[in-house]
Amino acid sequence: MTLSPAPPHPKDEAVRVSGLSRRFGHLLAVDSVDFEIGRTSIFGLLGPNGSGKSTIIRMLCGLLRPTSGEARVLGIDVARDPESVRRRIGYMSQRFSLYDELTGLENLTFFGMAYGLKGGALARRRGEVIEIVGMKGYETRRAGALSGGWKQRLALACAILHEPEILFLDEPTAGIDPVARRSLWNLLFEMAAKGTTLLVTTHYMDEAERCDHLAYLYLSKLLAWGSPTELKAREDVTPKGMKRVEIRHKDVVGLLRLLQGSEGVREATIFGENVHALVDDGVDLALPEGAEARTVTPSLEDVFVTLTRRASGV
Amino acid sequence: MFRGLSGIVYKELLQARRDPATLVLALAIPVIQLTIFGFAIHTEIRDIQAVVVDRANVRVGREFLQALEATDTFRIVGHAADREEAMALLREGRVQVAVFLPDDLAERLLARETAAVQFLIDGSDSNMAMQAQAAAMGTAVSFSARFGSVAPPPIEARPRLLYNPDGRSEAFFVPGLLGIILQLVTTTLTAFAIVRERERGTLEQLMVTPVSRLALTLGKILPSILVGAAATVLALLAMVHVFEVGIRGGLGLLAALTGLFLFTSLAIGLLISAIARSQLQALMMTLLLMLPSVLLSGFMFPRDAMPTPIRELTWLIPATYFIEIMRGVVLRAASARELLRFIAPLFALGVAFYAVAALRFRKYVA
Ligand SMILES: Nc1ncnc2c1ncn2[C@@H]1O[C@H](COP(=O)(O)OP(=O)(O)O)[C@@H](O)[C@H]1O
Ligand SMILES: [Mg+2]
Repeated sequence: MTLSPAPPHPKDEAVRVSGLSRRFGHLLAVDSVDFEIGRTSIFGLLGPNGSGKSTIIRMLCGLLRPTSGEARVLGIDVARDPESVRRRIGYMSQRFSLYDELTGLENLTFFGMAYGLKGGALARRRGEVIEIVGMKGYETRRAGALSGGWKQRLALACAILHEPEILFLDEPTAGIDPVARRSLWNLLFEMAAKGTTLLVTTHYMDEAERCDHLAYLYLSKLLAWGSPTELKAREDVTPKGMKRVEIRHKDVVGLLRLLQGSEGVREATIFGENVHALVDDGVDLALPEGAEARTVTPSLEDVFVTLTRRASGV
Repeated sequence: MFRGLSGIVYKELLQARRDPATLVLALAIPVIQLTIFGFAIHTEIRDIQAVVVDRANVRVGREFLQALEATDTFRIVGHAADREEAMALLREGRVQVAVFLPDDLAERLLARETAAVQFLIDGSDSNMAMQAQAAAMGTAVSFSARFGSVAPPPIEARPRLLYNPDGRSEAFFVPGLLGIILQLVTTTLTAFAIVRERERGTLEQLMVTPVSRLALTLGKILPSILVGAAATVLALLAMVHVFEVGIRGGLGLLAALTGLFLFTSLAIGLLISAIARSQLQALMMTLLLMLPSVLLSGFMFPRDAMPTPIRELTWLIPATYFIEIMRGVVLRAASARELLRFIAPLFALGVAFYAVAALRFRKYVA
């Protein structure tokens, strides 16, 4: 087999999902989802636990068959030809799934062989990925003995051995410390800059802000997708005749109660030391002493809170 | 000292209830197996299969044969034309006893001479051979008594043990034991190799590589075959040198047929790994299959003594065939052709298990 990627067809988007659904018994885990991912972008798949993120990724990798709808990866229908897709994608599952009793190097050797790398080419590529993920000096430790952040680097190294065109990362930063999280994201940016398309699932808002495009899943359905800017500008997030205000006050809990009881306030949520509220235009808020209000563009969290509330009919 | 005990018990019970498959296995295995084995196992030997060579075919001879069957120890399953044919049946393992009535039976009785009835007994199972011997002699004595007290006795039994003339029980148990141990080792190794990957999530990571399913299953099986082959060689060496059970048949044949049995055991392991969701379940299923292989395969208890429906079921157990094959090759120097009726079904079972496992495996992953 050859490992050099087929020449990219610029007209093909990296991923195109249409009407994709997956049922487990009575549970509809993914409910007719549509989205596209362009090449060389970081695409974020957001949603609370159980919203169907992993199920979508597993269908994109050919691990699960869709119940209906279609998933195309690099222009190929995954359900029809999973083998061709697998050679060109990398996958890092939600759960650490390398061999604990093997060292990092041995894990890399094994997965390299699984992708058909041999001899000198394998050794060279192994060295390269150790360099890329920055785990030199750690590669001879048993994988099981590594801490969370290093485990994720090793898993990433295994997933990119065969120079995949698209990387699917299922909650790569779950359960690792903030410093490790930041450096992992720097790695992802570097890879995207070098031409790899990334699909990352997360439920961290700060990570969502870093993505070029986002899709937001809630209860198995896709509620919205687009760039962060597009999402913030959505009319259904800040409808005509309303505005979003950020109010700063020392007693945010008291302020929240007050706002929730006020005429003309559609929504109010605590964000750190502030309360974000969706307020009808022309309403004069009776604010307590010392509170400062200013009109803001919605944050991504505002967007998702609003969309989620609407979808669940609250 | 017992602080927190009730909490732990509470949690364990809840967990057990949430894993119904394992719970069912744990509860069902004892009941089912106890029932089957309780009915199946009788150590008292009855119905030893016998072939008769009776060229004279006179009334007194037929009466003697009836007396033999009336003991319940023997069951006459057929007549052979001559010694050659009877010996072949013994080597094939179809009968355990060959009874030869003298050609001049009637003449000897008339002349008041002793007529000797020869019994050739397959001595592989020393326990069975002893009982056959005793029943043969006893029948001859009581049958002679019908002629009144005359000396010399009109009919005399002359039993002779074949294959294991010293009546050593090692000769009977060790070849079968070898099969049982091989099955345990290879089935467990294979079953766990895949279930462990599934439990840890590494199977999914493997599935996104271009490794083919055949490569994956074969790659898992091959190391087990190596281990199984090494275990076979060691076990055979122990059989020959420690237990002094010599191999009378062909070594090549033995190797080939052991390979076939290994393949079948591995296929069972693969099947278990395709069904089991956890290592615990895999372990229980291995045990579930192990017990019949030990108790019903004829390894410990004679299959002839089992009730008919269960005796028919024992033909679904690969170990049944392999133990017959081992005893045939090792003790009776049987040829491949003579053992064909054990080889062919063993092969068929192996292929069937493998096919089901491969299908099951594909279904889960896709
Ligand atoms: N193999 C499976 N069998 C049955 N239900 C499943 C399976 N995989 C996922 N689910 C269910 O599908 C839903 C979506 O799961 P998942 O895609 O893992 O969500 P997320 O990754 O967004 O947390 C959950 O309710 C989960 O329990
Ligand atoms: Mg998930």
